[in-house]
Formats: sequence, structure tokens, C-alpha cells
Amino acid sequence: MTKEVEKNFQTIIPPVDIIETKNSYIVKLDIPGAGKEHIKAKIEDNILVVSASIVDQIGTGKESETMKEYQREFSLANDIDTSTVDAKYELGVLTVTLNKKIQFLPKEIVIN
Amino acid sequence: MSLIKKNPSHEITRWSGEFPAFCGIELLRRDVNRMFDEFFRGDVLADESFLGHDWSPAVDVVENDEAYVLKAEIPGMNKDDVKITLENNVLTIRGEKKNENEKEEGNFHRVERSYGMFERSFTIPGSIKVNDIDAQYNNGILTMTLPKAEESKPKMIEVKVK
Repeated sequence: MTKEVEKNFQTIIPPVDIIETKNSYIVKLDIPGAGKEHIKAKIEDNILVVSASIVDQIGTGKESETMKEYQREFSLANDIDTSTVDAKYELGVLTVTLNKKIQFLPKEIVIN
Repeated sequence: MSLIKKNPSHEITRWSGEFPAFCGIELLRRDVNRMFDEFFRGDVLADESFLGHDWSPAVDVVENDEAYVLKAEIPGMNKDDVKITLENNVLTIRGEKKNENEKEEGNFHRVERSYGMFERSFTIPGSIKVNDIDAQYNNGILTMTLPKAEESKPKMIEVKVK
């Protein structure tokens, strides 16, 4: 006998921390339960788009299935070097490091 | 028992814009959701307490014929910082998520993720096999399976029609 699977759909805006350091911006998003392969991050037209689709099966009998769509977009300031973006996923947290362009880094001016 | 939270699917956040009132609204939204959760939760695995803590992780609780399954979202936590105890049929998850941001020097443009102490307790309605409780932590989700003791499982009684 086949059991009917209850299907739900959920759209989630993941909470974010954005920290600006001297050389970079660090963006941290809570996306629990994803595999690295479920997460997509891209930069298009100076907009960083982070998304993940996760199928959450609840219960050992898999009676219910929730499709969780995480998505968030950030428009980037001009000082970001989009060619050196780094992203890592650990313990359910996606950390994107956006480096600042060299010309925007703080410079010490030597007085002669 | 579960209440699906609906959020707008799409949002563009400006980096360099003013700090929006988002944090306040977000907190209010969480509180309202929590009130609904409390209301709909009913008696099954009643939440004993969450007050007096910094944050409260989202938890799904599912019951099937074999077990109670609890899923708690605690992204960013190390498994060593989480403690699970069972006492008098009350299951308690507690821990502390340290704010790793404090180490970093810089401007905080947004801090929406939760930090600090949390504790959630659940009263288990039936008897369970205490020695067979399984807890796993994977990608920020703590999954606990509490297998039911034989006397808590639903019984099938066959009725013969004469």
C-alpha cells in the first residue's frame, strides 16, 4: 500500500550577518540542513544571489516532505573585487568573503 | 501541528543603504510565530520553557508509529557546545552559540543571526526506549530519534466479523 506523502513548500529568507573588515566584507548566512551541492551563489550585474533548495523529509516513514527554498540577494558596492570571491559551507552556515578592490584598501601614506 | 511560515520570496538588500528597521520587524515576526507555535502545539511534546535565554532554535517534532523525531536548527554550532539531557521524561537541549564575529574587527552592517544561550525542553508524552535514543548533528541540524517503548506503540486489534 502506498502512503500519500504530504508535500509542503516553504520560502525562507536566511538571516545574515555582514561584517566589513579592512580588506573584505564577510557575509554569513544560516542555511541549516543543506549539502554543499544544494547551495548556489552567483554574482550577476553586481548582485550577489545566494540560494538553496532543500528537501526536508520529516519522520522515519517520510510521511511529509517540505521543499525549503532559501534565497537572498545583495547588491554590491563598487569597491568589491568580484573576481576573488570565496565561499564555504560549514555547520549549516554559508560564509561568503568578498574582497575589496586594491584601490579601495586603506593606504598608509609615507611622509617624506 | 506544524505551522508553515510564509515569507516573501524575494528581497534585495542594499549594502550601503541605511540600516533598515528590519531587525525589529524580524524580532516581532519571530515572536508572533512563536505565539502561534505555542498555541498550535497543544499538549504533545509541550515546550516547557524558553524564557530567560538569548534565542530559541526552530524545532520540528514528528511522531510516527515507531518513534518521536525532533529536528532542531542550530546552524553555526559545534556539536560539543550542545548538551542533551533526559530527566523525568523531559528532554532538554541546551547550548551556547558563541559570537565568533566578536573576534573580527570591523563594521557590523547586519547582525541577524542569533547568538548566546539557548534552552528548549520537551515533555515526552509516552514511554520511550531510553537506551536507544539517537542524536546526530549534521550541517547545522540536530536530529534526535526517540524510539517508542512497546507499550506506546499503536496496537492493531483484529476484529473478526462473524
